[in-house]
Amino acid sequence: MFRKVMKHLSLIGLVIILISGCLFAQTNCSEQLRQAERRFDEGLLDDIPQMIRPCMESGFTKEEKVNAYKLLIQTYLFSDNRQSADEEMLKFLKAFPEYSIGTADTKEFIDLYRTYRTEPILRIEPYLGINYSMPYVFEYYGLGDLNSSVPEYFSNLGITVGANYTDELYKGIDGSFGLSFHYSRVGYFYQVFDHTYIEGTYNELHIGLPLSVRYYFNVKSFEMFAKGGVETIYLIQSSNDLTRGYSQGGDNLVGTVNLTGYHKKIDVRPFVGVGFSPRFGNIKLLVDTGFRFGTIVPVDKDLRYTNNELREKYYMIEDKWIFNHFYFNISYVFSIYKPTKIR
Amino acid sequence: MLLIFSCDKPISEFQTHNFIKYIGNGSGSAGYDALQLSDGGYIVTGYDISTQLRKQVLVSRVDKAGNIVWQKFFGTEHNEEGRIVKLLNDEILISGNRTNYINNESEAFLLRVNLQGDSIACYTYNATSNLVINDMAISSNHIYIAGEQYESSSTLSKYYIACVNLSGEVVWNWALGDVSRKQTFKKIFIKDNGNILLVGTTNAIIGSTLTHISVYEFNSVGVNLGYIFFASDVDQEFGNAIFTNNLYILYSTQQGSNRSSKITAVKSNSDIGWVLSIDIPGEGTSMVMQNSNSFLLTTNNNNRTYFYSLLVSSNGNAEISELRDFPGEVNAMINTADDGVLSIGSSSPDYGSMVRLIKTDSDLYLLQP
Repeated sequence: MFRKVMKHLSLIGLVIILISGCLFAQTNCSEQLRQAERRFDEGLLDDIPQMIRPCMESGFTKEEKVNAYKLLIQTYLFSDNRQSADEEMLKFLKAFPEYSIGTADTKEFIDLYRTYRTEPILRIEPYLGINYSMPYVFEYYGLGDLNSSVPEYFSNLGITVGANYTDELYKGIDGSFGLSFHYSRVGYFYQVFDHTYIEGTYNELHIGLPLSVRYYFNVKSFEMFAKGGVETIYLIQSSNDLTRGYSQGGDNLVGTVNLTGYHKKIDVRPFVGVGFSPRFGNIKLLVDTGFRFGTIVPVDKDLRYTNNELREKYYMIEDKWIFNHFYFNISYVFSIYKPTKIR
Repeated sequence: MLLIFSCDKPISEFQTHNFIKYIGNGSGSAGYDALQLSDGGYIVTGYDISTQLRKQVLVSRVDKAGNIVWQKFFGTEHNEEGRIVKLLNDEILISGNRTNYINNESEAFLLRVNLQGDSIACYTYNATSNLVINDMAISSNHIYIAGEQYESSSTLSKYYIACVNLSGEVVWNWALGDVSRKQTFKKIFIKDNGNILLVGTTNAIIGSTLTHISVYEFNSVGVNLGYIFFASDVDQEFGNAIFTNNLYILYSTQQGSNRSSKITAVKSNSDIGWVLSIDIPGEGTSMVMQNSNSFLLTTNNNNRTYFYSLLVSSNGNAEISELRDFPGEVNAMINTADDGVLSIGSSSPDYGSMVRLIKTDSDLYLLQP
């Protein structure tokens, strides 16, 4: 028992010593950085690299490390040691690729910074969102009397996931293409006869290849963008969860009818949207919303009347419709940088 | 959830040439006959099941896209069904049968309805015994009804034909045949010379159980001008008949468990022109002629209806194409003004049969496999 307690106490002591050591080292390096900054302000540049360098590996906080790199670079610039300034700038950009120029940065630092490619070479934007179906009917084809009642369609929420590859096409304009999956739903109700009603939910799963252009602009401190493009989609699955019910009561007929073979597989859907790109530390997001329009009527007109189960069991003949969608997506911007001297 | 759309949309021209529509109260219905009106719409008759679970006559007027203009039900407390519908002087004539739900006795009726669906008159015919009407033909001043009459057993029936005037009074009638056979008229046609052509079935020999097709001809005052039988050693089940210059009869035969359909052409001199053994499985049920050498016909096999297109050369050689099949039945087909076809029957019995109309254009768009 005594041994066990001693073992635990030893471990705790070791952890305390390690943490204390780190804190001591950090406190010491912080002081070193402050002294180096004072010397820089006094024009005493010679010793600054030796003061800072021992702490670069692990002695600074992240913010201190940024300041240390900037101090080193400026020290070399003011010492006319351009080569060392370039070496430090390259290290700095590799360590902090998402750094963006601030108002406190000196002209010399900015000039050197701009001789490097600081944009990401690859931007992948995985996203997750919701879609809200907005059906539009061109013509009804019900089995019942269309003079007295027609089917009704209801918007419903669905889910979208995907990822885009994005690159800068021109200053402030990005182009992207990607892969997406859309699960969308549309409600359906039809009082097909006085004695019988049909209700159901279309469930559709598509895979898409979105191609878009994004134009960035600033509104106050927000980075906003407008977006437009076109998405070629392929139908993976379409079905309708149907209930045939009776106005006077009775046992309902309930089931799911697979409609995949009765619908066209390809649709081309233009979309437009707006959004903004908030940052949370190093995390950059894209939040956008817009409309995606269907252009091709999915129901194959030559197969409209051929689904015996749909017609005989559920008294349903599919109408001529398209499903448009309102969407809302949140993307995480995952950037890969390769800073390189370009001038 | 948001209701996005429910306002009116135009019905395209396509739907006036091609549609499938169901009619009825959902408790079991069937359609037996239809006619086309000058506005392109249709009158349909058949039966529907009432809340007392008895058949009642269903008469419905639909527009050219199959949507209901009006729908009426006629009848008494007995089982009644409309079998044939004709148009005469802007009146709708429906003939059919009434079966007493207590003693099962049958009588025929002739119902007159105006184009708004209001009943004008109804005449009942029982010929002092049981009477079943299978078809009706109309000349300018007479109505001919044909079927069968029997005393107590429907398996021992006589041919029945009657000529009635436009007020529904019987001008002449005949119940003919042998008391020990099953004999019935199925179709009736009026020839250009006013003679009456009747197609039916009979037991070939007294005491025989074999059923054969028979054809009779009467003149307009009811004189029997002669008859022919289709001699065969197998049963012949009448399906349908068309009369143009020749008489074309669709029937099916049964050998063992195999049932196949045939078409026979009977020339105007009563000679049999050709017998086209098309060997379609199932029971031939309806037939229309699309032009001088092509037919559209249906067979019924295990509660499914199969459509076939048939191209016949002058010597009787046939090229047959199988079209689509549907659950349920087709009881009649009519040619339509746009050279298409309207079929009338019933939807799948598995899910509560309703009157089913299938209208297809001249290319048989809805029937293409």
